[in-house]
Amino acid sequence: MSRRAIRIWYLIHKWSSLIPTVFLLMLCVTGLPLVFHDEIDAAMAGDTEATLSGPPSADSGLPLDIMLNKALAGSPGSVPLFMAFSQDSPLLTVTTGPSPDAAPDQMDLFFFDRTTGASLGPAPVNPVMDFILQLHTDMFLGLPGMLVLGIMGLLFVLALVSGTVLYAPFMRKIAFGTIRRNRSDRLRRLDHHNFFGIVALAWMLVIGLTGAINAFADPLTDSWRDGEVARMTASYAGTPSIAPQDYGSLDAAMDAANRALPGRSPQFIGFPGGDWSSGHHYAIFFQGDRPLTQHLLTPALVDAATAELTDARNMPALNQALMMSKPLHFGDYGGLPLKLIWAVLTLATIWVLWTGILLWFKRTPGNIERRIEEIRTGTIPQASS
Amino acid sequence: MKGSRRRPSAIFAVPLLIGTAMLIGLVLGLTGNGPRDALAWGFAGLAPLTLLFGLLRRAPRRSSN
Repeated sequence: MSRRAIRIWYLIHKWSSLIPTVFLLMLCVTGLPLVFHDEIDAAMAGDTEATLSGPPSADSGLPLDIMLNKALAGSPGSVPLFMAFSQDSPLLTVTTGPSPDAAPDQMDLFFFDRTTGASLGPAPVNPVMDFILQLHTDMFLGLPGMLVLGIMGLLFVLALVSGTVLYAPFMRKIAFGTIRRNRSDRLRRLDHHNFFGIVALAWMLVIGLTGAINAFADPLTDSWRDGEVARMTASYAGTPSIAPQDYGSLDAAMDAANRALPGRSPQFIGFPGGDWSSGHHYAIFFQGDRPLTQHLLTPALVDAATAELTDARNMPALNQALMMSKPLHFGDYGGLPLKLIWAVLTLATIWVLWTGILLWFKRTPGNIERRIEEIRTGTIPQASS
Repeated sequence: MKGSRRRPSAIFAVPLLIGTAMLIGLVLGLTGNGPRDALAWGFAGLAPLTLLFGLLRRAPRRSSN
């Protein structure tokens, strides 16, 4: 690689790393406890699902209309927003709010046992984990915060790509995994930065890309609702939204959806007027029926007044990518060992970031030729300290 | 040192192996449970094990690099 090429890639790596570094450190530090949110929530508030016995609420149990009436009876004046099912236990979650288009901070979540019909009370809240999650998601800035973090994620991906390009000239004379501990602090940091970076590279790429996609979740969902859902429900255009008191039978709607998508398991229902439906439909989201598609959701739009199916079709490719991105980013789909792997690689990422910061702060100021020579030769021209 | 320069294919051989194992592991875990999860841990676990091995390995002797 020519000196000129190294210089260009070095500058790309420098700025694509320096700009997002503080954000990435925050994301790593907050992401670490979030990986174990199931275990932390269970330890602090108890594991509700583990206490229930019976068939999964996604498969069977008491009629949905009965469950919904129970939820609304316990939350007078509210309207239903979501009903979510468990694939593992009878736990049924109903979300209510003051209006069909209620904001997330106005929503209330209630737990029910679909086998017995028992109300299990409000979903437990964990202020500490909620704080960490919101800091990690949008830094308490809403959509602008999410978009900033999404751009930082894309810069992180650029830093990884440019770092990998620079890895080649640096490692020309050095064996994989070499860490020269006995030379200078700078050389040891360079070796650590390269070794940790290249070993965790694939994981960091996946986390960076899926994190960036997740950051655009709200605009992607809005785009799906305003585009695909509007086309699916074109015949309803211009008609006023259905009022909550006119909602028809959920069970009849579920039957209609099951006939359109037989053998699939429901994950949640979006009620009319919310972000996940039209103003006239129950949007019933089903999981894929094969392992490869189990994280992909297919909505069936059922007229909330008549329980007649309007349409059922796969979501657009970008929304499907978003659905696959969530588990890949969170690492919560393969049991505790996978979470431990996530934790170790998050610590490795922190180390890559930290050694990168030290390499930057403790450089010889203003001498880019020296940086290029380090990369080109894989060592420090005149070792110091 | 000119004679000891390595080609990009040699430089990236091990990283490519670790990265491919990681991606296989992530997809295996995502597409099933039970045995697939166990395979996912094995494949995705190669990267953390490599880091551990690299850190615990004895420091090489001083060289001219």
